[in-house]
Amino acid sequence: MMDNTKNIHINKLPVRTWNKLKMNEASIELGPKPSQALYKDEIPSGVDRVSGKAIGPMSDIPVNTGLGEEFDAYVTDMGIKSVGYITEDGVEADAPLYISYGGVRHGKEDEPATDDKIGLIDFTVGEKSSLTVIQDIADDDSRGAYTFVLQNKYHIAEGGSLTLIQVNRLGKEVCLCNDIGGYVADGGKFSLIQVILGGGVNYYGSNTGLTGNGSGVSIDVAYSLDGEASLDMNYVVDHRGRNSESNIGVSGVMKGSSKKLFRGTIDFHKGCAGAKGAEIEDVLLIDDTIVNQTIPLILCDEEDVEGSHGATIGRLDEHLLTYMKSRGISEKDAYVLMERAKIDAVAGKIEDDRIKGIIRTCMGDEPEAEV
Amino acid sequence: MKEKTQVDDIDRSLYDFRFEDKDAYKVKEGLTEAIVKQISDEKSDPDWMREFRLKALKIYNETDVPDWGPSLEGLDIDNIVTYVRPNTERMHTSWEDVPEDIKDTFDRLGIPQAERKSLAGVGAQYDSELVYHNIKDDVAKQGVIYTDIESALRGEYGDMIREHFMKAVPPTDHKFAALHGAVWSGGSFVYVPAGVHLDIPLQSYFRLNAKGAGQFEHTLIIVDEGAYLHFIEGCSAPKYNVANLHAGCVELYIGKNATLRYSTIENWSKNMYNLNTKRAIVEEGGKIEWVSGSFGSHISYLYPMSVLNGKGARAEFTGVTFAGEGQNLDTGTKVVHNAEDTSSYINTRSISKSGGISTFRSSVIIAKEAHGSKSAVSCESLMVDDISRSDTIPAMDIRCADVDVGHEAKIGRISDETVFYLMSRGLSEEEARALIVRGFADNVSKELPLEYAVEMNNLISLEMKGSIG
Repeated sequence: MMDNTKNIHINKLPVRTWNKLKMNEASIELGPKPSQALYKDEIPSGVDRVSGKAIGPMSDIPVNTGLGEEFDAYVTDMGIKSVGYITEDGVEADAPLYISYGGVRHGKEDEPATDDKIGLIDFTVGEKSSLTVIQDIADDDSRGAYTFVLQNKYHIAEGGSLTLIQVNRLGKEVCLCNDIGGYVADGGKFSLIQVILGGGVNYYGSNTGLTGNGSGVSIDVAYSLDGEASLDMNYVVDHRGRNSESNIGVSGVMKGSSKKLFRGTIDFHKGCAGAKGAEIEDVLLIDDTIVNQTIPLILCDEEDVEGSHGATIGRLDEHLLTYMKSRGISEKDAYVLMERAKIDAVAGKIEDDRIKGIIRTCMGDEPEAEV
Repeated sequence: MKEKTQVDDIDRSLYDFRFEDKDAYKVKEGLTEAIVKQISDEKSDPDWMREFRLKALKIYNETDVPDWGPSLEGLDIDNIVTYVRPNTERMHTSWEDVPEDIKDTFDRLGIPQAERKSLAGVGAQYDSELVYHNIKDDVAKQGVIYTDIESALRGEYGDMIREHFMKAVPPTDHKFAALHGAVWSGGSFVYVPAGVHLDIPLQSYFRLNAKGAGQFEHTLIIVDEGAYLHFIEGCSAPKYNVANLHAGCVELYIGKNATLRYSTIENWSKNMYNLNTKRAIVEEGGKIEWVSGSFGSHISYLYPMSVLNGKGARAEFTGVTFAGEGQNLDTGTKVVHNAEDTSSYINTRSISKSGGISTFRSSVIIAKEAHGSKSAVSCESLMVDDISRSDTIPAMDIRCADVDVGHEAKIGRISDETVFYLMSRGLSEEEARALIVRGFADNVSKELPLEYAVEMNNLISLEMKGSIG
């Protein structure tokens, strides 16, 4: 039988470093024919769904994505139509656009389906419009091992605002390729909140083009990795507009034999005078069998900018641990509390109670009783 | 409209003099087995070293040029002369015996004066050969060995050198380590016996005078248990319109509870490809302190590496890189924590001006066994104008939970408010900016002996000298 899988390189660093570190890129084998991912959406008023590319105003400009060119070419080759969501100028959606992949079956209820699937979504946010999107990325554990390719592209017009919230609660045998890319025009804002509680092998990438003056992006990622789970990330912010601003915050907990690689790049291009960019990473390490890799880049081709990066990696601070013990909290419970605190800190930025409840349930809380 | 400071190129006249090398002995340009054998014959290598060179040549030919870092397209090994012996037959222990033009070179660079005033010993290399080596009697009486590595290799320290030579930096490490293994020539050997504390430093100075030549000196230092040494390395060359190459190798072995401070002020000319490799192996309780100032060369790949093999071993790296017009300086450091309770502290500053490119590149690796280890990395970059570039590429690989790793990086420009304040106190804008940059780089200057700190500050002032427009 012929093997039609394709090996491609993804999550490439914008600037390479020593090959021995094995951080320059990741490689992945992808199947030849993933099927269209099924989903349910709840569309608020003011938002229209269209078939095919929704990104109209900038359709002649290729959108760079975090997973990169080879991945984008693979997605294009699949010939799957994207689903588009559009808000017209001056529209503030009255509720989040809710897109759920959980509980939507491809085959029969009791039949494990292991076919790979793909979901492509485009967002266009009009001038001075505002849209919040929640993607609940879930499936049933019984479905077995498969690869889920999810790609979101966006264009945010002048003064527009897009908040994309993603919660990953996939099964441990699933490979998720989660690719994001788009542009932000003058005064626009893109907010990305990602909570990663599931998936066995996770590839996350995001590329934000801050093309507009005064445009901005904030990225908040929280993850909890256990067992053999892995998370390979590549977040890139291209500062091109004057006075553009970026903030990347990544926080997580690593247990068991989990592996994580965080690539974060703030790229100040010539002409982005007055731009500011900051990255912060905070990793709590629990077990000695983890592999934690980090490579935060600041690339600077413009004089009048401010860029910074900070990272704190390791066990709990001795003083904090002592304090908690003095309050009757065991070391084990202290780590559980801190793990919870890292997820809550990011989840707390979400205003939607439904998805917050789902996160709490994933973290082991009892579901709240309906009143 | 905001005014900009126009920064002149550096005045390198202090370093940019040259002498004709018509009487020097040279091998042909390029790199072949015949040339490697010719160098080996010149050196009267023992058999093992001859074989080592030929194996390294094979590795060189099989290894790719790095696909990361600054472009090396302008470097063609077929145009490089890998061995140039100046017109002097042997290494001298008195400056009076050194040929006049070579002595004049080191006089201008201030080496004999420094030796008299503040050094315990000096080595001076001119092109491919050491031309002068001396150590103070009282230091020698303590058992300290400071000599040229080639005579040591053939003499009573031959076994010790064979045991350590290119063991920390094997030729398989990268293409230019292999090149070094094939054509190395000159360099110093230092051994500090257990318990000996040298209060004043030793210094080696490397001068590359010949046009289109390469310099491949090997420095091997062994600091035995509980000993202390400060070793200073300086280097310069006149500027030519063809590429010169420096692919030296520094191997440092630091014994139990020993300390080595290794200071470098690198000021190669702007046609130089500086592809140097430095590595320290540190045993239990030992410490390596790197102090590094990179000011010269056209292209640099320079990342001193510390391998912390013993419990409680420590590494400190303090560095400044100043990239001006026509320079692409890719510098930084690497640390590998292989044992419990090891610690590393990295503190660097990068300055870019007049279209120069500076890149800070680092890696901190903490192995599974390195419980209780700590690492802190701080790198700051300063952009002096809007035509330069500065990149920061730090990597961390941690495979043990019981660690404490911190990293911080900042990039920015000279604050207008600070310049304005200093000008209100009577400084010109040029003086104010030079003062700010000198202060920015004081992490290194305050770690150097006074004479070298003054030299470094003078270099910065020269770099910053320019008209205000």
